[in-house]
Amino acid sequence: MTSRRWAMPALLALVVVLAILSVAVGRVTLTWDMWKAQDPVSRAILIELRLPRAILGVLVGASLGLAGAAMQGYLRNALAEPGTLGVSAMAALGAVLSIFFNIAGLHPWVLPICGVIGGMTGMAALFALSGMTASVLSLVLSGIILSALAVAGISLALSLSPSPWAATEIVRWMLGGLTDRSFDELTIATPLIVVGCIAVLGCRRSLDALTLGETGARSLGIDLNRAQWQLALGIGLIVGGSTAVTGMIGFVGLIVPHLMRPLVGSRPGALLVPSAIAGAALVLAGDIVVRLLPGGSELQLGVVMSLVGAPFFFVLLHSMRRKLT
Amino acid sequence: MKLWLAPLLAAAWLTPGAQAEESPPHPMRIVSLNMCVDSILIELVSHDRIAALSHYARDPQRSTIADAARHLPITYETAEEVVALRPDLVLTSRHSAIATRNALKRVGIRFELFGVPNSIEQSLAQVRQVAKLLGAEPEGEALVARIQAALDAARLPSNEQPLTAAVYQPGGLSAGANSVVGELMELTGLRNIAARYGVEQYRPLPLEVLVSSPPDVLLVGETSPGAPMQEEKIVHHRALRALESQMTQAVFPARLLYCAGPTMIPSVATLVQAREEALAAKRARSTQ
Repeated sequence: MTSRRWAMPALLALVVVLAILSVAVGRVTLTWDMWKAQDPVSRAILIELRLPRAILGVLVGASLGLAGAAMQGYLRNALAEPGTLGVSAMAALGAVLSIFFNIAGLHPWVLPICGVIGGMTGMAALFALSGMTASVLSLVLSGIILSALAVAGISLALSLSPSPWAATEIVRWMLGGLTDRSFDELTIATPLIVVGCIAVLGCRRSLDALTLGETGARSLGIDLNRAQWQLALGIGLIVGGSTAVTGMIGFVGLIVPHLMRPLVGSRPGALLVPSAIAGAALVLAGDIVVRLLPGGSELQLGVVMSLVGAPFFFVLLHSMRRKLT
Repeated sequence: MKLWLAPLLAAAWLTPGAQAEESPPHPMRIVSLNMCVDSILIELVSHDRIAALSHYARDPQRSTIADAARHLPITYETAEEVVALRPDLVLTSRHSAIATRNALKRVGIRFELFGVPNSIEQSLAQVRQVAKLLGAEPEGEALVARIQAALDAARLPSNEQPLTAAVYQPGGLSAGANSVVGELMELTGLRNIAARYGVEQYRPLPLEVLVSSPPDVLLVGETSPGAPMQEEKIVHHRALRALESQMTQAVFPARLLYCAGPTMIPSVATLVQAREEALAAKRARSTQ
């Protein structure tokens, strides 16, 4: 099925170029001389501000792309995305509550840890709601219930916020972005995301078998129940970890698998790694655009993703429809 | 992660001057990331000590110091810009972006957080606090005295009856209890009906409440000429126009609503002008 061999090396090269660009560009223009000089200011900007941002961009983008491809493969539905299970909304709720109760400023770790706790609570609730031998339908419905509940909680926190300024603070965080993230956030998110990615990648064979339908997969000796929980756990870890440090960055998990299908074919197992690479490229590119846009304050990455993602998705859908008819 | 960077950064930051550790009594490169602190800062220190103001300071719709800010550098509140300015003191809001504050902390830049004052007293305390951090206590006291003098001059003369009033800004936003503007209104002899109807701080006042008991003075925002936004339409709502004969509308620009501190001086002047106009209108109505 790997129809185009050049695709993967080219994408990897793109990620490398974008990662270097991500360290090179920003609000402050650093010339090559300043890079070379042992200047504490430029070093702080490069190592403390831009490097973690670039690494986090790769990590979050890759894991969201991977999670999106896995979700679409597992549910056999092109509209599925990592947020479908409701874990990202719960992680956002956890982080928002830490801002609401004014504890987020106490220590840099408080907000992301509250986000992770929210995400984990969401996962536990997901398992409890859908039961151990859950069907796909009950899993998705539980996710939708969780999302609705979390969004309601966030709205409640916004409308009860002590002052308009506190509300702005919550909104700014919610919109999602990589601005000024540091190695602290990276330290919290990396283990979760890596474990999640390993769990999801371990489901490759099950995902491929599932293209034959559930009975087909069972007859191939796949333990569907186990695969389902492994996937849910992996995706929960990925989404919980990344939402806890970056806020909600939508569209990556939804759009990237669609982008990759024409290149690598639609076998779900083979789609996982290319989607991860493309996700990293997409988030890095978005984060660079955010910084290069002229004038005013930086836009939030989540906003740019949706602004670019929605029309792009439309074009994609349009061409797909033409192909099908 | 932190461990391997710490010595590197410590070495880097100590070289330009060892004073970085013990906070210098006279910070010479001050960065403010908050509009309200901007307005205090610009009054207290010579402008060459200001490394940057916030970008809101230049917005004439929101800032009272837009003209002065045009000649001073600004940042857009990213850690990168702040670090590049090599500040020795950063003043920011308690509600600023958490990630940016964490980044500054990691790089070892000293910053101070300021809340939103809910009363005149808190605001004056904040002016003194900023002055202390800047090593400009005499200037701070002078500014406090100036503000206090303006407030005293604005009080309602004892032979006049207080009027009722409400702030009504685009979007129906009002100043209620626990807000500096609400307190300034009471001080100038404008009884704040928004506070009586349970509006706290800066929140919307229901239009029905306003129509059911119209105040003598309605302090409306400055609507920008040209393009009326959807939110601004509410200020010109038909229901309000029907009450025009009963209440006086006075302009209270939104920029006076956001900050206290030195902004209180033009605020009370505007409130006094509104009160005098309304009193004159009331007298004219009663003689008719």
